[in-house]
Amino acid sequence: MGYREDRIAHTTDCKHCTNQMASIYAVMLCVFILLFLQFLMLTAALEGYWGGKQLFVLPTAVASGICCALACKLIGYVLTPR
Amino acid sequence: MIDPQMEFFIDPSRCIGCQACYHACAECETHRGISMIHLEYVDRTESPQTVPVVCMHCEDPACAKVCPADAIKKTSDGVVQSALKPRCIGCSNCVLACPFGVPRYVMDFDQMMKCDMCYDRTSAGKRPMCATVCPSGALAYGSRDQIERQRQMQARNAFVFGPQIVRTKVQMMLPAEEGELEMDVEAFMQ
Amino acid sequence: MPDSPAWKDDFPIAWTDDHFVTRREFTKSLVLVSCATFAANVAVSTLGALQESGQHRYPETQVANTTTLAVGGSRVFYYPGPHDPCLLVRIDSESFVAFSQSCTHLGCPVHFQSETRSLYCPCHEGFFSVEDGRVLAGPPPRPLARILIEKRGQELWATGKIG
Repeated sequence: MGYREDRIAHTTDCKHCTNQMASIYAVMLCVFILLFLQFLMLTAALEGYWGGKQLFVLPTAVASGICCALACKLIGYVLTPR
Repeated sequence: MIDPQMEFFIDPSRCIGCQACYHACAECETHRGISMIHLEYVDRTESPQTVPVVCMHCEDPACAKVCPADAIKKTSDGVVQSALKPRCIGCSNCVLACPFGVPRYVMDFDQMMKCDMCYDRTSAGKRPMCATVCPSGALAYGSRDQIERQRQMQARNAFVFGPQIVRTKVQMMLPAEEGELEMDVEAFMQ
Repeated sequence: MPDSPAWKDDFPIAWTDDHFVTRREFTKSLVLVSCATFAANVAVSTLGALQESGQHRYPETQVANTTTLAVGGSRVFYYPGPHDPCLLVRIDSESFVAFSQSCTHLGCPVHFQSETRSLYCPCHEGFFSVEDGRVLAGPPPRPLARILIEKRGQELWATGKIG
């Protein structure tokens, strides 16, 4: 009686678990790199703003936006249940 | 958050074995069509009497204590949740440890699954699905005052397993003269 | 024998006692920081777009008199506020230039070197041109901010700032 008989011995190898771990680590690393690039862009933008060279400010904002969008896409991939 | 006035009551004597709770639970998409409640026959050869088996949401859950992956958590309301999907490793420690035989190991998902008192519904002020569809009141969700006014039996939540007393959030309706329910595990196994 | 082993405190059953941050939650917070950084970048680009050629107008202030400053001499004055040191240099009998005295590298005060006709920062050997404040040598990343000077008779007035 009961559901203890449902417990059928199965292999200890869990490819699904390993894949999940690998994917979250990969996403973390990519988000770190993107964040680092964004900080570089912000630094360049501030340097340009303070130095009076407005030419660099807009491209850095665009690049930062692309990095942010990529980061959001990556975290969305991890959070989507599969 | 669940209204602290609201409690879950099981009255096995009222169960008529209609399986409405089983099918209603199975319709829920949050556990992919697998029912978290089932009916047990007390003694099929002697009687058609059935008893609904749901998670008793113990105050000191044995399933959570034996989980090696920290996958089973208890909310602040006292509801013991089903195993967390990213953490459960399918070891079945909880299946073996639960004194009420509630957790199920589902091989298709490599996951333990159990009743979580429809936390998505109860935290929003609704009743669990099984209590909503039960025609006989064997599964009831309401305030203690309401239940005691309507019924002659008393709600108890202490179960004795040898030297251990397991206290649960889910209340079982027992005759007034019964205090703690002694579970004869050996008789159960025969 | 302790009442509760350490691992039980590290992995509590109740959510209210669980203070560990999961990898998922940490990555989510990183993404939030990413969005905040992007917002800051957009704010800077908006401010840059709103300002025209980096020129700022401040209240005019008289900073010196032509009779008190010799050719090749320099004088410190404060503009636009008391915490903004600036350097006024008389290049020749008719030409006066002024720049912010804060080196753009790490903020050290620059001095006028008449022999090299440049503005010199002693902290890290930075050199700026006295004509337009651009970097001639050293680690400074940007030119010195220029102070607009107007000659009104014998009076020298600071009227604005570029950069």
